[in-house]
Amino acid sequence: MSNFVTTLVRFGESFRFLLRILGAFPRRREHFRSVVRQIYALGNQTLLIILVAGGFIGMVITLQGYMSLEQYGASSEIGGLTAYSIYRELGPVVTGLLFAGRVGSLLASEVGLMQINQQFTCLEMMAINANRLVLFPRMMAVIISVPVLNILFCLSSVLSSYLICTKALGVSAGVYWNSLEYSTLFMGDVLHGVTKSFIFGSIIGWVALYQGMYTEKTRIGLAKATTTAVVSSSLYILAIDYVFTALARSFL
Amino acid sequence: MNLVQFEKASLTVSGKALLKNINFAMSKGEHVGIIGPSGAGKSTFLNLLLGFMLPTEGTVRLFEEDLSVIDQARLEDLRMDLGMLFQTNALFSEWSVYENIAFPIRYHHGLSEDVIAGMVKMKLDAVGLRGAEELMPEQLSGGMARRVALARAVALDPKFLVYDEPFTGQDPVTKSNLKQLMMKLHRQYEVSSLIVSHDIQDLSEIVDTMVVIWDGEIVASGSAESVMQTTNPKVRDFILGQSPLEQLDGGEDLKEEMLRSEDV
Repeated sequence: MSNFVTTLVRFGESFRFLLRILGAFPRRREHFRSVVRQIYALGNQTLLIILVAGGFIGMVITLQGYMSLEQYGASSEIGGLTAYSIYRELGPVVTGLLFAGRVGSLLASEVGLMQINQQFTCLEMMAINANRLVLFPRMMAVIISVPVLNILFCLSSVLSSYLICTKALGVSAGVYWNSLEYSTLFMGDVLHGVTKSFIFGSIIGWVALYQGMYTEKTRIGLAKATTTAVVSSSLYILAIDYVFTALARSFL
Repeated sequence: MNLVQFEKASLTVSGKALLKNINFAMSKGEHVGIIGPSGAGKSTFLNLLLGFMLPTEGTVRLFEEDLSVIDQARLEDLRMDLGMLFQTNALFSEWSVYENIAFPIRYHHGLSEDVIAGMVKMKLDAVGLRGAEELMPEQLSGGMARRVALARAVALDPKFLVYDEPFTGQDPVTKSNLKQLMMKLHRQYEVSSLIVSHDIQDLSEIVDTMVVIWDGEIVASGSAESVMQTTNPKVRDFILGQSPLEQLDGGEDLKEEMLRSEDV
């Protein structure tokens, strides 16, 4: 079989896998509890790194942006410029990439190890639907966590940008917030970023769980699955980011 | 009542026949051993029996129900009456011994935690591990882990126990204790059992009937004595411990696959 056909077959398999997970909608209280537990576990693991990264990126964007705007005498627009780039691009993309690195690898190795240790078969033998108990909660946790973390990333960035502007660059608080408020649209910018991060979350969950579930049952296979989960989801995030931005530019 | 019935069941994957025309039946109260060399089709047989795979020809019935026609929900109902001991034990490493055994009981029965605790204690008593509730799987020896897995296998009081290579990796003393324990549990819970193994000596002490699978086919079946005295050259070679690899179709592929699986 040619590589192209093999890729198509794998895509079809992974799509069926995704449908199977999404079809395993929770039916009992412990399934819902499991979703909440996973959101807490996965979201918590990434919260600190997201807040710190958001803070630094906000500061860097502000300094770079301020220098450029100053040349044109438009330094009062710094709040709007920072918010625009963070809400629309940097927030969802950096959150997605960090989440893929931190949680994508964890999910792929966790699920892969469960597969190697026959724990999925064990659950099925106990008459427990493993998709419903293990995979669906993890998928939902990722889909819900990434947009929430994106919002926190944006808040952290804007806050750090505000602090740099007002404490180091001498921009007044009123000018900063005024520029930010006038330049940022809820539908056009904030929702654009949140929608993107929702899509990125779905991609991270899908790729990581698929790689873990269909890992080659060896140590090297598991390591490969973990790496592939991170690399593939990172590349998908960047590619989809371009496509989404291009589509949004055409239709919005 | 037949617990399991294979009627002319065959399974072909990517043009390769993994199981060929299997006819097999097992009734309530029976203890059956499935033996054969690695790669002979034992695991495929087990996968068909448990509903993880469906035959490409013929039928497989579990508790008189054709697995090809029932839905997932019905299959889950049938599995409530099945207990399984895995070769890897498949214990959940992040849970204590107590949680591992309590989990299926808690999941399927809306019992209070006190009742569940009593049931877990009973199961642990049955496998001789009283007081091990708080231990974590990594603190258990190989033999203890297998007994915990066995306690979990009988947690839902199954009618039928399936063992996948229960003696693999056990020292002779542990193996002997495990055999005694298995026979005790069979009597205590009045369960039927099907034991997949590649060791005919170990099985002969536990089972009533033995079935030899070779290259996807049943080549011999009957009492342990009759199988051990067979004149079938394939079965004789297997009993005498002659390497099956060169005799099997696709021996090179199999060797490669076995080396890969040992890497885990």
